[in-house]
Amino acid sequence: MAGVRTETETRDATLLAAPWNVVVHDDPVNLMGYVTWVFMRVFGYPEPRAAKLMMEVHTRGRSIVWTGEREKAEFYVQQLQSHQLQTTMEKAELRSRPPSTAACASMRRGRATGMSCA
Amino acid sequence: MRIDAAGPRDWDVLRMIVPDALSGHGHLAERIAAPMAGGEDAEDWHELVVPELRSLFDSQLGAVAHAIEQAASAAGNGSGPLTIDRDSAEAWYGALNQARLALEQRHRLHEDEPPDPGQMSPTRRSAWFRGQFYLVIQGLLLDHVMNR
Repeated sequence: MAGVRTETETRDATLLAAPWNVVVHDDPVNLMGYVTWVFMRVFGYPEPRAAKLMMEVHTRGRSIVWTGEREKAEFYVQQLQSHQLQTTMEKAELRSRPPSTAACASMRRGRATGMSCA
Repeated sequence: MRIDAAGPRDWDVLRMIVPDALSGHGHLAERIAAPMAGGEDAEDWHELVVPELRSLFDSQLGAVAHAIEQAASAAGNGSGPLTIDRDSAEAWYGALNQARLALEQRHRLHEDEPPDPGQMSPTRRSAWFRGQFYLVIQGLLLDHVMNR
């Protein structure tokens, strides 16, 4: 059942490589200018992007400020917490895109991809 | 940046930064890291990250306390300057932030919108004004020292 094994391995690899979100939460103390400054400093974001994320924290109560591999996400959480920002991390939702026609054709030929075809 | 203290009362106000920062429930390092406590790596986070945060936050308070006492001593606890240079600006900002976070946690200063000091108890009102004083220094540090 080579096809079944291929599917399992693909899913395991996807889980291991699942991206993580670094989330900053709003609080009534930190200055907006300071939050922008921290985003520029920690992530190297240009000011417009840092200010946009800061406004998202301010207006929505939270903002995903970075997404990527888990180890690096932990590093960023630590950096942001050291600047006294309320920060957490969470698994990013994997948004599955519908597979391409070629992929579906491949599935029908018995090569599993882990995605479903209509 | 320079703060000119006019006399003993001004030094006493500045000396309140550290006790205010320590007035929160539990150490700030624990409070900041608390949202990570529910995760899979809560134990690692507590063992590895919290001590580093604790050390950083304590060092900010130590630096500020030292600078205030040194300046007050040089002024004979009377009128005299306290200078905050670029190298120590972040420690000052962090210490003032710790003080404001602790005051907010303890007194819920932003619970009333808009906050009305006239309706606050004397203790809460005093905390409110100290918080506003710290906020002004933070704004000046950010605009004129850290962002340059």
